[in-house]
Amino acid sequence: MAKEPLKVLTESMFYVLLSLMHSERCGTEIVQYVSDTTADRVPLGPGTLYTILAKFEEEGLIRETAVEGRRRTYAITERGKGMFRRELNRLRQCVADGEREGE
Amino acid sequence: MSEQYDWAYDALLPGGLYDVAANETWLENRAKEGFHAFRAMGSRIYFAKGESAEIRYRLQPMLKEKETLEQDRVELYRSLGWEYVDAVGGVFHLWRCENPAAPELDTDPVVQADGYRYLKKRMLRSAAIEGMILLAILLLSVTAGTVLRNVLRDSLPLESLLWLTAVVCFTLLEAVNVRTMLRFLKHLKGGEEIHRPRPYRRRQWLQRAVVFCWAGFIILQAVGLFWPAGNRDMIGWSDMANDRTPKAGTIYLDLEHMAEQGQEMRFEVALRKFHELAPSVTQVRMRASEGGIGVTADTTHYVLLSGRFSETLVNDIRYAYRNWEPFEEIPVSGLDRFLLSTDNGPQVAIAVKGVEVLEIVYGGDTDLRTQGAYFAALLG
Repeated sequence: MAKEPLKVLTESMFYVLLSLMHSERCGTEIVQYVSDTTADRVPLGPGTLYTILAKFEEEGLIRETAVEGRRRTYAITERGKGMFRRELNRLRQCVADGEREGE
Repeated sequence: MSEQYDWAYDALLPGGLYDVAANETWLENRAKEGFHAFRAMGSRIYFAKGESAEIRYRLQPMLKEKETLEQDRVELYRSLGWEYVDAVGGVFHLWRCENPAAPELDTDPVVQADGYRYLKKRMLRSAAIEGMILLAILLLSVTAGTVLRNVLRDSLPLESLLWLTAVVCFTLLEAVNVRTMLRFLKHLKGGEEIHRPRPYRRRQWLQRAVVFCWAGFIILQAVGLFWPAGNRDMIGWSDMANDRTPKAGTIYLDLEHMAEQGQEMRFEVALRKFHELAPSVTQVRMRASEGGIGVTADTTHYVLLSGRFSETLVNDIRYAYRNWEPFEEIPVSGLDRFLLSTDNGPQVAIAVKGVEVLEIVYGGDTDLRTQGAYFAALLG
């Protein structure tokens, strides 16, 4: 089934990519990272995490690096980093526009 | 899991397969009543009796056909408080969570909507297939005809009623399924979370009606098909009164069916139907010769139970002579209707007055068109 490529990341997607920017992580580590970084502001349920990981892997934004027993580890790809930077720029633009026009 | 319970039972998902919120609400309500889902087979959920508990149930769509659940995924979910129950309907994974502090299974509606792509495609495909099957059955039942249809169509409207009710309910359910899923996806894509609890009782009743009607329809079909040949006549009708004396009436033979089956045209083997619409039927057959030319007149006088039956009988007689010239309606004073048809000589006339019907099949020189007043005088 042809899926639409990602253009914009949701908040959950953004933080999942962010969690992999500097180190490889498994699912529970990603959840922990997002929880710590956002001080529980962004909840990340297992269903959402799994769907995001599957979609990112399919689009080549992340790749599986190791399977140790029941633990699967992921790393971000160059394409994923590019996607993250584009999203970050978009958000910066949004914030700049908001600060300039909205305050 | 079932071993720890005293007994178990199973039930169909009330919201069809695709009303996720309604089905989850139903599972949670069952858990509050002490019935815990522990297994699934198709859309059927198996419950075991236990203690009443507040348990969250969530249905998560499979991302592809026959998706298998990898152990690392099960572990990931478990580490966040979610236990796997079973696959449901080949399209969902069912999860349960007893810990109220555990996070929701899906926390991002937009991501969740993305997970429904395969399911949406599958739902639309199955709706199309089911629609085609329904249409095929409908066409078959209209064109092919069955023993049951021949024998019971007029006498027992139950078959048609069940069939129609099942078709209507089924179509309604399918429409509701498609609408529910499309609305559901629209909400998710708009970033809205699923609203729970969601009512399901009305759909549950609709679903029960479909199952009941289909079952009744199939049973009636089976009865019609496998009824012993010698007893096929008089199903639902009896030509005997309670004291076993014959009743006045009309026996119809299904000659068309016999011809279709290549059977010998005998009364004993024919599909028969007793019609008590005419408590009084008198037939007089006259044969004479006028100047060496044969004259025949078969006159049948029916007294029916109601004017409605008169109309039915007139239609039946007209149908019997459908290969003759079309019936001409002739206004005659003293008669409700007077109809005449010919077939290169022989004439058939139908005179109707209230509940009385006179059928005359005549072969002779007289033009029955001129005899309306005479027939009127015979009736009433």
